[in-house]
Amino acid sequence: MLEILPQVIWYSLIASAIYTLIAVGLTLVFGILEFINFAHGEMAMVGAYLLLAFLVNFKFPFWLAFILSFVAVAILGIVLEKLIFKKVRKSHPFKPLVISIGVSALLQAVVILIFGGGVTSYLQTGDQPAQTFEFFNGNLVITDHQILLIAVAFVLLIALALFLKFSKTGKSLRAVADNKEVAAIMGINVDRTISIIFGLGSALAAIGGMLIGGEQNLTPTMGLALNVHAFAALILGGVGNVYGALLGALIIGFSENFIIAFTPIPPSFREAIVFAILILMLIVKPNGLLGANAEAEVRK
Amino acid sequence: MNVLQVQNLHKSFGGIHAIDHCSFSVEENSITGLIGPNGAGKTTMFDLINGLLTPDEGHVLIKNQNVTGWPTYKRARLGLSRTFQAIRVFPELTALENIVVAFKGHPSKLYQAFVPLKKKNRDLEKRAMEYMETVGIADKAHLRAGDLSYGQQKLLEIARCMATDADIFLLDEPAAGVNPTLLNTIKQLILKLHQQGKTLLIVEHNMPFLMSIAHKIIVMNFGKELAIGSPEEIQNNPRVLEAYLGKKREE
Repeated sequence: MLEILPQVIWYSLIASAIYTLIAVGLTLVFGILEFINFAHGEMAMVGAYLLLAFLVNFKFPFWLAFILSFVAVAILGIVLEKLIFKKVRKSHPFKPLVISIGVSALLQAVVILIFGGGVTSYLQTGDQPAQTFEFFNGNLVITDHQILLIAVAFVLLIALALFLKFSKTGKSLRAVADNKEVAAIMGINVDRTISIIFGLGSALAAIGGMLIGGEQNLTPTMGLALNVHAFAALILGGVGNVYGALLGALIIGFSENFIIAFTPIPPSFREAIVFAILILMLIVKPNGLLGANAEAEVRK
Repeated sequence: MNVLQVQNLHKSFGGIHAIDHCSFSVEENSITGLIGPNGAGKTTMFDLINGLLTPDEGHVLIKNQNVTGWPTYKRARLGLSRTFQAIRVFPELTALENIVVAFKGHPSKLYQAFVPLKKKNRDLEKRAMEYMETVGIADKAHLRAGDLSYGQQKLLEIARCMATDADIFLLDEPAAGVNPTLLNTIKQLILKLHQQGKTLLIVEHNMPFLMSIAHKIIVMNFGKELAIGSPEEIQNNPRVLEAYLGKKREE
């Protein structure tokens, strides 16, 4: 049993990294606009499929395909916000939530029209198999793609944390989250700040999607499963809090992989495990691990 | 010169004329009081001036530019700033960050937003600290703004307006709910801003306070201007007394 431990830890880390990349955008949007964007997971899906198109169909070099994909998804996120979500910004959060479910279905339909509804992969027949490295007498096998994945996620999350904490826009962003009217009175362009959030969040999700595409097959519905995990992660960690999203993603990533590896529960129960953890946590800590204390919120 | 003009402004909510074809102007480097009974439309007027609301009719001119229809943030960049009747600091930011956010010179190019320059940050914080010292709450700079006392938040709000580099200040009830010591601090701050050449338009219910600093008083009632004049003229104006106290019964 114990000999598979290093491999399980490695897979848990990879899962956590991807969930974090997606959860961060979800939590930033929630922090500012207070709605859960169900189309956010589709940004990961669209990113993954764009990379496929650029790599396999257009035969672009990897770095170019990678950049083009996440820039295109960032623009897609900004355009969706400007065209659709901006219109209902002042409505009850239920409206944008329902609309986002529709946007999610629409994006899936477009991808199915272009790429078909089946399963595809970046690996084409005749491709070189990935380069692997072995540790612990072959008990831990790591591919070059996985190292890239962890490194990219790590660098991006540190960059995001620095950006939010130190940059002027990062501070404006927290001001907009606190109070949009006052932020405008202070001369902050609220629309632009929200565009930056959507662009940034969508690009991070797209990168998450491209990274997971190297590990698994692509399906047009992959965004939904990713969004479910990211959603669970950010509720676990405390909504609207970037560090909470990271912590929540680690808990989800590790517990689902450990439970599947070391208990008789079959892998098809993955989502059920995620929600079971979520429900248990919500009973113990209703506001998430890093969320504000409900009583303190009420007394404000 | 009139730095702020309101021309025939009108705003209805449903069937209620919150602002009813109201006109007035505010001279540069003056302290102007805006008074009126509760519900006269003073706060709605502030919302129309800084663009939180759009008027149904009429114009708002700032520095002779017609800004009707401009978004709030553009008016702010023209030099208009405001405090609120119910304080609205950014509670989740530190007191110092509340000031830094208000500074002009947002990165003009998008990429600059992603470059956290250490030195630039330190300069910004030093400048922000100067504003904190001006209003006398420098020792609270690193506390969460939401944890400051009511009076400190009030001072922070004024400091934040100053940090936007505004030259027109709309102050909504600066004297409400403050003790005499703090009231004096706020009065000194207002006089200091006036000395620096700023223009102040102040909504206030504390008459002795307002009459002691204002050069001109605008009285509003039922959404329109009822009387405009010096504090003395206003205090002796029978129509103003009537609006506040009701009509004397006919003998």
